[in-house]
Parts: sequence; C-alpha cells; structure tokens
Amino acid sequence: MLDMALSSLAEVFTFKSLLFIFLGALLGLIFGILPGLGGPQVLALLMPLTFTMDSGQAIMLLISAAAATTFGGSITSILINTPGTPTNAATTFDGYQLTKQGRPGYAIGAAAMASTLGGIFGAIILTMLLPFGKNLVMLFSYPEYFMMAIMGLAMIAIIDKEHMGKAIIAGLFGLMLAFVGLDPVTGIERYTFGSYYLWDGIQLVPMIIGLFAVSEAVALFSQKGTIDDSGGNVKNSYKDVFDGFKSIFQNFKLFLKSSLIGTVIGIIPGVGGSVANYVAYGQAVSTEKNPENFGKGDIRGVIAPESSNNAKDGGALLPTLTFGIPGSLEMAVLLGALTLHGIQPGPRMLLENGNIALLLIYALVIGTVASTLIGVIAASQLTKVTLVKTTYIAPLILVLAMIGAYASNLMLADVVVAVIFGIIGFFMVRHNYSRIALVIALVLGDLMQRSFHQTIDSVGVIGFFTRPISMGLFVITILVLILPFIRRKRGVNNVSS
Amino acid sequence: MSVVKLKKEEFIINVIMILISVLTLWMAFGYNEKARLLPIFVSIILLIASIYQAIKNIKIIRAGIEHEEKVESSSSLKNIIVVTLLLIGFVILLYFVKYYLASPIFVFAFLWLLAKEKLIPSLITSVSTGVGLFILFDLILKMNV
Repeated sequence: MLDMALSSLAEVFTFKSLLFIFLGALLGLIFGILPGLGGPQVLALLMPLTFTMDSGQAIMLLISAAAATTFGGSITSILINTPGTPTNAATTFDGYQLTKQGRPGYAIGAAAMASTLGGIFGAIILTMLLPFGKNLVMLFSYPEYFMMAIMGLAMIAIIDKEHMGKAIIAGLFGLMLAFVGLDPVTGIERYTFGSYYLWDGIQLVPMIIGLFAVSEAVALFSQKGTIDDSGGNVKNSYKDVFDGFKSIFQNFKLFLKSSLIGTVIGIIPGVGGSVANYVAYGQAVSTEKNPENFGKGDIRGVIAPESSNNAKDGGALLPTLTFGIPGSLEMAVLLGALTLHGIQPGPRMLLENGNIALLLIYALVIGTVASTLIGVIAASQLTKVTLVKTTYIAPLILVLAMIGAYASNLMLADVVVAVIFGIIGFFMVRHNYSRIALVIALVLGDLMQRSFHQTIDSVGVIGFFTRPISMGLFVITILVLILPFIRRKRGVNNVSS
Repeated sequence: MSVVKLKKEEFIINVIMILISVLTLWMAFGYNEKARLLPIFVSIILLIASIYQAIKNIKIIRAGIEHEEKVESSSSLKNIIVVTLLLIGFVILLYFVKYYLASPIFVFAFLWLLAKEKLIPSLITSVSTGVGLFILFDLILKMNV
C-alpha cells in the first residue's frame, strides 16, 4: 500500500503531470466563472482531448478541472452577485454584500481558503474510507449492485423536489435510453432501428456534450449582452485576502461542520453540491451566534457554503470509485472518462487499479490548491471573461462542443447525437426537466439491468431480500423515497396547528 | 412568455413521451423474455408518469386561460431552431472539409448572419477560432480529427 502511495505520488509530481493539473485548474476556473457552465461542461469538453493521453495524466487533467470549477464559481458570486455554478448560489448572500462594503478581497480570500481546506477535508475522509471500501467491496455482489443502482436511481426523486414528477420522467427516459443497443445478458438488439451505430447504445460523451454545452450556448446567445449584467462594475482588491485566509481559522468549527455536511451529501449518489451549499449555509444560520448578521456581509456566510461545496467532491468520489455509482453529475461524466481509458470504476477497480484511485485523490487535492492559487492571483483578469459579449461566447462553445463530440470516435453520427441531445437539453431546461436525472439514469441503467439478470440467474429473486446488505439498501431506498413525503406532511400539520 | 403557452408546449412534449413509451412498450414485446422484462416495466411507468404530467398540464392550461400570467423563459424557440439549422450546416460541412475550415465558417455565419455582429470582429474571431483549434488539436494534442 505504501509503495503504491509513493509511486502514485511520484507520478503526480512530474513536470508533465503538474502542468496538466494546472492547465485543468485554469480551464476549470474559467468554466466556473462562466455562469451556466461548470464541472460537467468542462469535463465533457476536455474528455475528447484526453484520448491520446496516458490514462493517469488524463484523469489528473479532468479531476483538477472539475475541482476548480467550484472555486471559479465563487469569484463571480462574490464580485458580481452571479453564481458561476449552482454550487455557489449560497455564497452570493454574504459574499456580494462584502464586495458592496468594499471588501471583495476578504471574501475571495475566505472562499479560497475554505475551498482549499474543504477539498483537502473531503480527500482525507475519502482516503480514510477507501481502505474499508475495499473490504466492503468483497461483501458486495450482484444483488447489492442492483440495490445500489436502485438507490442511486431513487435519489433522482429528491434531486429536484420542486419538480419531482418531471425529474422522475427524465430518469425513466434515461433508463429507456440505457436499454438501447445489444442486451448485456442475451445479446439481443433492442431499439436499434436497424442502425449499427446504436448497437453499443447511446454514447455518453456526445449525449452529455449536447445536453449541457449546446443547450447552455443557446441560452447564452438568447441572453444577449454580456454575462455580467452589473454594467462592468467588477471590483477586486487583494488588501483583505490574507484576512480572509485567517477568517477560516477563526471559524474553524464552522468550517469542520460545513465540510462534513458537504462530504456526507457528496457520498449520496445524485444529490451533489447544489444541495450541499444551501444545507451548509442553513446550518450556519441556525447554529452560529448572532444569526441576524447573515445576509449582511458576514464572512461565515462565505465560509459555510464554500467549504461544503468543495468537500463534496471527495465524498462524491467514494461511491464512484467503490461501486461505480456516480455521486454527482461531474462524477457521472468522470465515470465515462475512466471507462474510455479502459478503467472500469467499481468493485474491482480498487483491487486491480488502486493507483488510479490514489492519483484521483492527489489530483483532487493539488487541483484544488492550484485553482485557489491561480484564482487569487488572476481573479481580476479572469472576471473580464464575463464582460465578453455572449454572442461571441456562444459560437465558440458550440464549435468546441461539436469538435469534441466528433473527436471522441471520429464519427459524424456522434455529432448528430450531440445536436439531437442539444435540442432535448434545451427543452428540458425550458420546462424544468432535470438533465442530471437523465444522465444518472443512463449511467446506472446498464448496472441495474446487468446485475438484475445476474442475480436472478445466480441466486434468484430471493437473493435481493435474504442478503443483509441488499435488504438494508432496499430499506434505505424506501426511506429515501418516503421521508420527503412524511416531512412535507409534518410541515403542513405544523403550519395548520 | 405566458404560462399557458409554455404549458401547451410542455403538453406536446408529454404527448411525445406518451408516444415514445407506447412505441418502446410495443417493441419490447418482440424481444425474448429476459430482454423485454425491464424495458416493459420502465415503459409502463414512463407511460403512466407522462399521462399524469399531461393531465396536470391540461388542468393548468384550462385554469390559466382565466388567470394568464407572464413567466421568464431563458431562450426563445426561434433561437434553438436557427442554431440547430446552423449546427446541421456545420455537420454537413464537417463531412466535406476539415474542422479547421468548417469551424471558422460556422463561427462567422453565427456572428455575422445570426448575431448581426460587425464584419471585421466577426472575421477576426472566426479566423482566430480556426487557427486556435488547429494549434490545439493538430499541433499540441496531435489528434487526427
């Protein structure tokens, strides 16, 4: 284990690897700063560029880019009251107030340190749990994989509580798409309509490129003007940055609580950082002293969401690496990238490619640190991207997206798939159907159907309910599904009483 | 955009989903017992969920005629249609020429014809895009795109 840890560390600390990590961090920051774009988009666009790379370097590039988007998003949250990604939404509450009070550097400094330490916290928890994950893996078999897939799918119902019905429809549609191609058990063609291209099923890369990059580009073009609608009034100061750093240590208990919340939420497949930052902010308001200061430029209102949204990355990697179940959308795309490089995330990966898991953790930590360094140094310059007219940004995103889709297999059919899913993504956004639900269902659909038939063939239906872990997962799934209804009913009763 | 108009549009999507689930259900019966089990199950739930959503929208449409209100929509239908047409043109172009020629043409068409940007900045952006992509994909990454 120590040998593996040292050799992985040696692989990370080569000039080329560090270059890829810094490049990924820079791109991730830029995508994080561009509202509407984030981890899934930068991963979708970078994925085709990694085909010719060594798998280790490709993973370092991708994970550092994904990790950097979160901090990138906080910069625009603080400076122009516009969250770069949904995971930074809660940062606007106090971050922008601090900017208005002439202390943007203080807020950026706090966000930077919270992001860095939050990312490291998540990675430490992940490292601590991974060895047990290995033992856990041995306890898991086909019935447990099936129940894990079902549990991941059940999360779809709570991803978007406001539009739960629509999220379920999106998830069911994603499952139907997972059935396209040759059946993994019988080898029978399903829903291919005589097309050889569809024998391998719907390709994840062009689908994600279409769903996210294309539809976001259309939205940006429709928006007109610039991304920043504050009239170019972007303020930044480095005077208070150091005080911002120090504020984390002055509120270390809050940082620990928020990071723990982020990590735990990250572990739950399908929930993600957009929930974590609100939950962390909410607990800060409800548990900290002087709650009346929140929303008026309290630094604790920046620390809580920013530590949680970076800590969630470490948590989200746990189900991804241990079970092959994506903890978030970024992880779903990353899962696709790992598969493309011949690495099958899941139970066997930890046993056969343990070094890849370590590389991911190291890249996550260094990528987070790198993005913070770059972000703090270049914040004032990077935010100028938001002043570029959206009419110029939109075609560039579209071209990169189309070439990216084409480059994945050098097949024009992939570009057509990207365009089709671009249209689907546009209507999904327009009518509040969760794209995350669609992607998670497509990714988990394959695991679900494969493990279902393997269980039936090996131990029969009874296998789902006689094995303790499988039964436990089944019970958790049921609880996950019914708890929101119970809470809602309680809330209604409380209001009426 | 009015709520009713948006809900009418969504109702069309619901109908499409209903048709897709009926088609996938019907096709699933043509597969063997193992291959059809899960598709049949998921198709039926999708069908029920889509019908439920369609009924919900019909109710809103009927009620909304009396209480019509405006909602913000981030993108117009016209934009997605025009962008899709441009993308189809880009795909056709990619079939005949290399990406570093197709990309500047697409960017220029987008900026000058669609976004009505000035000629010179559009030209500079499109040419820079082609050169930038060539440097990135062919020279740095050595990908034979």
